[in-house]
Amino acid sequence: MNWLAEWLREIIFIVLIAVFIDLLLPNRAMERYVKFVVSLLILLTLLSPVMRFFSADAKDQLEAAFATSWDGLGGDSPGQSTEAILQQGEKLRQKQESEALAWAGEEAARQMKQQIERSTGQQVDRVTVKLRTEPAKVQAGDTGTSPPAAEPVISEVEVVMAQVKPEEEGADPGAAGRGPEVSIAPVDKIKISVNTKENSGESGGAQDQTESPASTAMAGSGDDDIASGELAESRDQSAATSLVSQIEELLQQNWGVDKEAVMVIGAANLNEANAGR
Amino acid sequence: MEIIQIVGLGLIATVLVLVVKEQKPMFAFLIAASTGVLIFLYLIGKIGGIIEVLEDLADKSGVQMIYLKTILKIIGIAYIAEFGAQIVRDAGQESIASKIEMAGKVLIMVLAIPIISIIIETVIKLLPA
Repeated sequence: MNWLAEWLREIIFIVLIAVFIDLLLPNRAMERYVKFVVSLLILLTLLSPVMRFFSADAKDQLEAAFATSWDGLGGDSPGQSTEAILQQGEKLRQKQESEALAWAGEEAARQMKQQIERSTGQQVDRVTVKLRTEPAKVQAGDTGTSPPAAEPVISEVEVVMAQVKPEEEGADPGAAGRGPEVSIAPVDKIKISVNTKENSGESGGAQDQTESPASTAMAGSGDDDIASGELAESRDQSAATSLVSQIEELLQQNWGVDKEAVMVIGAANLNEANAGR
Repeated sequence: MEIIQIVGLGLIATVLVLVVKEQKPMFAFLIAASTGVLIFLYLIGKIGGIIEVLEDLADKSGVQMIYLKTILKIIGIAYIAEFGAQIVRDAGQESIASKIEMAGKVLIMVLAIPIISIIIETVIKLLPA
């Protein structure tokens, strides 16, 4: 019986308020309209138990409808909602862009892997391409016609060669990067980064590598990220460098990557690299 | 005693308007309008008290606040539209005054739309399809 008491109380108070409102009204002109709306409210209150049976969310629905209609009546400025829509659109655009970027990176990595495998004859474990949008070009596009003019730029290429069994390392010098079965072993992991501004200094370090292999021994055995920019020491330095330069050239030709900007990172020989991981 | 103040204000304003009307009808209108605004502002505080009591009652009785808000909106629209229309009517622009009143009525009806839609929805659900 509790709900009955509540219902009755609600009805009584709504009627009282309605009568009060009627007295408050300034003139006759508005009276009919106000009475209409107030009687609708009373009807709604009378119907509320029925509505509870038939649609559980009637109250929420009503509140939502009121909220929207009051917003429309001048509560919030329409400019704000436009702003919100624009923000949503921008978010969607960024999401789409990042998805497209990720897809492009995957595709580029797949093709790079095929090309490297075909030209060097080595098994490539995986190729990871990191793309980023060029900030300068984004700004140029903003001043120009359309905002989404950002161009993706290959910022980093990571080539992981398939590992070769330890006993084959002895045959590395003869292979010189050509034999499919041999010379990959020293170059366990090659990281090629195409980022002209940031990494050009490091590419010099990579080229220095051939002259001073001893200095890189520690870095090679360490973490891959720490070892970036350095060609790891291996038992067969010449095979590794030739393979690296081959990959560099390949990427330069096919992907328009400046060789100066190519950074080649190799982990140490197979055993050391495994220990590092 | 407030009613005496208000009536006195109204009487003085009426006399002034009658005196000034012959020479400067423009100033007569300004006096009338400002008197109306003064009385309205005076009453706003009282209306605020009434509304507070109403809200308190509704809160205690468990009436949904959304109903009360609707009713208060209606009163506000009615009062403001009426006030503006009367000032304009004093200035002799009957047609503009009726337009203001029409706007008030339309806005009140807009408030009724969500209620109507929900009632109709309920009725439709009640009836076997």
